[in-house]
Order: sequence, then C-alpha cells, then structure tokens
Amino acid sequence: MNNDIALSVENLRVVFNIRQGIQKTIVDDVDFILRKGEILGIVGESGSGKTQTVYSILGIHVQNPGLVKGSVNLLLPDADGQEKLKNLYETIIQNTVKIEHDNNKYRYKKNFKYWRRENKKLFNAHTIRGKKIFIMFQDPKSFLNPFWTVRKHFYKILSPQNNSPKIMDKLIKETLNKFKLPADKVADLYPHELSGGMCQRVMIALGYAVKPDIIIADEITTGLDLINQVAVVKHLETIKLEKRQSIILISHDIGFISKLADKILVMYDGQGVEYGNSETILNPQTAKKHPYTKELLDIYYQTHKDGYILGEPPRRNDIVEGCRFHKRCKRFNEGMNCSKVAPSDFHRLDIMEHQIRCKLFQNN
Amino acid sequence: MKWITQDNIETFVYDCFRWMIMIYALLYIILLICSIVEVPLTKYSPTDNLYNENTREVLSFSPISQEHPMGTDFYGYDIFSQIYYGIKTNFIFSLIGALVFLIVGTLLGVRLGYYSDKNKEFFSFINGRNVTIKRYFLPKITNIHMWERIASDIINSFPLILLLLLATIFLDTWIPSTNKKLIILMALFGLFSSPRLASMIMGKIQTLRSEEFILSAKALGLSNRQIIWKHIIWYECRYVLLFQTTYIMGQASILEITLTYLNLGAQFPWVSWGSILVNMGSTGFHIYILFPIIFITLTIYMFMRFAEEIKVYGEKRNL
Repeated sequence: MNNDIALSVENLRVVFNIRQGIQKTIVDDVDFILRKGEILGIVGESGSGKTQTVYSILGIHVQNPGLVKGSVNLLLPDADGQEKLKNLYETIIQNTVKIEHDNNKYRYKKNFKYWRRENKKLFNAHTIRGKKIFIMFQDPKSFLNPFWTVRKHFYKILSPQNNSPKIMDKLIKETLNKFKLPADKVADLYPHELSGGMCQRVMIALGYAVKPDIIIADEITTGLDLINQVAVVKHLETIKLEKRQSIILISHDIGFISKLADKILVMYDGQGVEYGNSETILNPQTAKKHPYTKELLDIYYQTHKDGYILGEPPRRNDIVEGCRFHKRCKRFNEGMNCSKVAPSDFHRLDIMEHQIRCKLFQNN
Repeated sequence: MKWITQDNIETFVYDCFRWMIMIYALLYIILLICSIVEVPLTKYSPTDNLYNENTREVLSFSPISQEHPMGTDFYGYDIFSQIYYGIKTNFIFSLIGALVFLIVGTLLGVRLGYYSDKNKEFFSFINGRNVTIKRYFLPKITNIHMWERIASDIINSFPLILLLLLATIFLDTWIPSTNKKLIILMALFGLFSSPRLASMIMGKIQTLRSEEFILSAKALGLSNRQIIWKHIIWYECRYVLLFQTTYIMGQASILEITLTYLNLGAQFPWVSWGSILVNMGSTGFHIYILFPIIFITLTIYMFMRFAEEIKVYGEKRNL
C-alpha cells in the first residue's frame, strides 16, 4: 500500500448557529488521515457527526455554519506540478472568532457573513468537487437529478474530460455494463424509472467513470436489500483493486465496514474517539479499546449484557465538560477526573497508528 | 350532431369563447406583424384628417364602406387605420413593462430565495427564550434581506396608478417628451409589479434549495449560477415565469391605453388605442366606438386566457 497521505484532517470543528443565541457543535476536533489506495471507515451512531465531517471537507454544508475551524489538507498539484498537501481552509477564520464563557455555556461570536465569499474564493470548489473528491449520498434517487436521464448525468459530469459524444457513449456503455446495468436500456431512463439498487449502482458507476482521487460513500447500503448490499460491496472492492483510489466509507453498520475498511475512525457525539487499523479495532480480543468501541463491538458480536448502551448521548446545546462518554461509560473513574477534564486529542496520526481518546490509555 | 343541453351548455359556451380567442389571436398576430413591418393594409394614414374634396367638410362618422371598413370618427380619422397602427404601439410599450417585470422579478426572487437565510429569521422570531433587545433587534436591523422583503411588500401594497401619476409629475421636469416618459412609466410599472413574481420564485427556490439533488449538484462542482438557472429556474420555474409575464402583458396593455386616455401616454407620431377613445369619447356616444372597445377587450382577454392556459398546463406537469 502506498504510504502517501491523500487527505488529512486536523482539529476540524464545525459549529452551526441554529437560532438566535444558540449554537450547536456538530463536529468537535476530529482528526484522521487517509492514505492513497486506503479505505477508511467512519463508524458511529446516528447524530455522531459522520456526515457533517465529510460535508465540511467538501464545503457543502446544508446550513451556513457559524464556525469552521481546523485544517483539511488535500493532495493537490502545485505550480511546479508536484503534489503537495494544501489546506483547503487556509485563512478561515480564526481571527474573527471570540469565545465567551457564560454560565457554563460556550458562546461563539462569529462573523460568518463572509463565509460564503471566503468559501468560494479559497476553496477552488470547482476543481475539487466532482473531480478530486466524489461523494455518493445515502439516497440514490434523491442524489440523481430527477430531470436528467442516466446518460445526461454522465455527459454533465464527464464533459470537461471527454468532449466527443462517441467516446462518451462508449464510456457510458462500458461503465454501466461493468456494474451489471444493461446500458441499452438503462442509459435513457430517468431516476424514477429505476429501482433503488439500480440507482445506487448508477451512482457507483459515475464515481468509477470520474476517476477521482477520493471517493466518499455516505451510507450507501442503508435502505438496500441484502443482495444489493453484497453487490455494492463487490463493486467497491473492484474500484479499490483496479483504480487504487482512496475511499471513505460512512456507516453505522460495522459488518459492512469490516468487509472493506483498512482503517476505522469511531465517532461519538461529534468527536473521534478511536482511530486505527480495522484488524486491531474489530478484534474482540484487543485489550486497548475505547469503552464506546467495546460496547459497539459487543453489540455487534452479540455478547453485550444489556443489548444496548445504557444512557443517552449528551445534548448539543450544552457542551459537556470532560469526556463526552463519561456518563455512559462503564469504566468511569472519578479518580481520573473524566467528568471535568477532557482527554487529549489524537496527535501525530502519521506515526502512531492506533489512538484512543480516553484517559485510561493516555499518559497523563 | 351534439345537442346542446343543460348539462353541456357551460362547456359549449366555454368552447365558443376559446375558439373566438384563438381566431382573434391569429388575427392579432397577423395584424401585429404587418404593423411592425409596415405593410400598407389601409389606404389612409391614421393621422390624416379626411375631408370631402368638393365641400371641404370633414368626413365625420362616415358610413362603413370598402374604403372605411370601420368608418371614421368625429375628426375624420379612419378608425381601422388607427386600430391597425395602434396595435404596434400597444404591443411595444406592453412588452417593455413585461420585460422589466420578468428580469427584475427573477433576479430579485433568486437573490431572496437562494442567498438569504430565511430559516434563521423564522426561528429567531418564534424563539422567545433568552431574547434581549440587543440580540433580537440588532441582527434584524442589519439584515439586508429582511429590508429587501419589507421594501418589496411595501411596493406591492401601494396603488400602482397613483404611483405612476406621481412619477409623471416627477418626470415632467426632466423629460419633456411624452413618448420617452411613457417608456419610463411602463418600466416603472414592471418594476413595481415585480415583487409578485419575486415572491413566487423565492418560494420555489427555497423549497428546492435543500433538496438532495441540489446538494449533490454542489458536490459535483457545479457553480451556484448553474444550479440556480439550469436546475431550478429552467426546470421548475419556467411555466411560472411564462404565465406571470403573459398576465402582466395584459395588464401593461390596459395601462398603456389608460395613460394615453389621460393624455400621459403615446403622442404623435405614435398612434394608440387610448387616443381613439379620447377622440370618440369627447363627442358623445356613437356606435363606432364599439370597434376599438371590442379590439381592446379581446386583446386583454386574449392575454389573460393565454396566461390561464399556461398556468393550467404547468400545473398538469407539476411545474
């Protein structure tokens, strides 16, 4: 496997301004590294911030954020032609943020009226979105434009690369046939005329044809039957073996992640709590494991005593002091001061492969 | 033969009107094209005072004949010539108003719909907890999108004719030419009517803006311009734009006639239907006044009918 880093995310924080005076920290200090040809699986329960992390990388937030902080470094060619890691959020926005501490609530005063302008100027969105990074959404029928046929989707997405219609038609035919879609019938159909599984395969075929550096698959097996899930897994394996592209898989299904992922990032309440090789993390025998990861795996392997994790995740309006999982943690220790002092973040992910955000496994 | 019964009399009358409008529309288009190209359909100019060569008397209300298909008015002007050349005036000035309405309304709707954060304001309005004057009013006062919406609501509620009369007084000092003033008045009419279109476009854009296929278009690298104009406006809003513009053409048409009737509209060398009404109306009732009235009524009804048909067709296609 190539050791070059294709994407690195450091201390990514996204705060949304929901209503007057109320902010919501969606992503809180997330770090991970994605190497070339590697598959990273992001696992977590619903609402843990997996999708918003990925949207932050692309800059396609559903709602204009109050704050985006941190660095998202992507491998891009320089003026010399050499590929270097460049920060997509270069000048955002540290100087315009003030933090006030009032009644145990952190308030971020933000200046996001320039967010859109900065986003467009610095991000070079058109050279990255759809070309370097290709994202597949959860609901394929919503992802595909309802007014376009499958053929038109290929034309619109691939037109900068291949101008000749003959070449495009040949490419469309080869790509669709590769993913077991009869090109003669499917190419001229609209998304509402296709089944969910077929739409999903069209989406994967688009990702295959575009040849991006990074593919992001956001819960693409959710809502599919077992046969189509197996087909999707096979197609992703094909992409990995043939194209050597990096893939980020997002799912709450550990079984799906375990079949494909080389590395796993476990997220809880907007934070990354564990990052490492999938063999290490998914192995039930491994002693060093975050308590949340252990509970997830116990539920997956059906060895959990209660069958579910007791308690509820903290509300987002109040930022919890200390470790976010401490109220539900079975290994909570008052002596470690987990409820007041948060464990430290991941650091030097390029050197230390397996990292856990828990005081039990961190020195001091 | 389909017998007319009590059940189908409504559809029969409806169909009759429909056929009548279609035939009139064809006639209107032919006359309009001939008028613009200046095909000499009539022997007489609309501004020629016709008089008897022997007696040197003005040919007032001369009977209908081959030379004067619709007779002449009190001042000896051929009525058909005035109607024929008036079509061009009426259409061109209505088109100015409709184009301004379309362009300003679309741009305003796009700006308010795509680039404003309406949800934020909605929640700040309904959220009564922990709201102080500083937090509530200051963001509202500095929010330009809120002021744009307030301005469009104010403009929308003001009586339009009154606005235009005030504008005429204002323009009198700078623009002596009545025809140029009429162009500006029609443009103002389009401008003041545009908030109606803007609110429709704004609603459509806001419902679609958070749809996943729009988000995926952004994720694929399409610019905001492409998303707005190609995805939303073209696919979702084109029938709304067509319907509203056709409707406004009808309103602009009647406005032009009204302004000319009030001596604020088209003057020589332009001939307008409003001036026919002025000439005919000032001398008491004569049956010949029905000719311009029929043409005006059918023209306005034609535009309204077309607008309705476009609206129904668009709704059938769910667009």
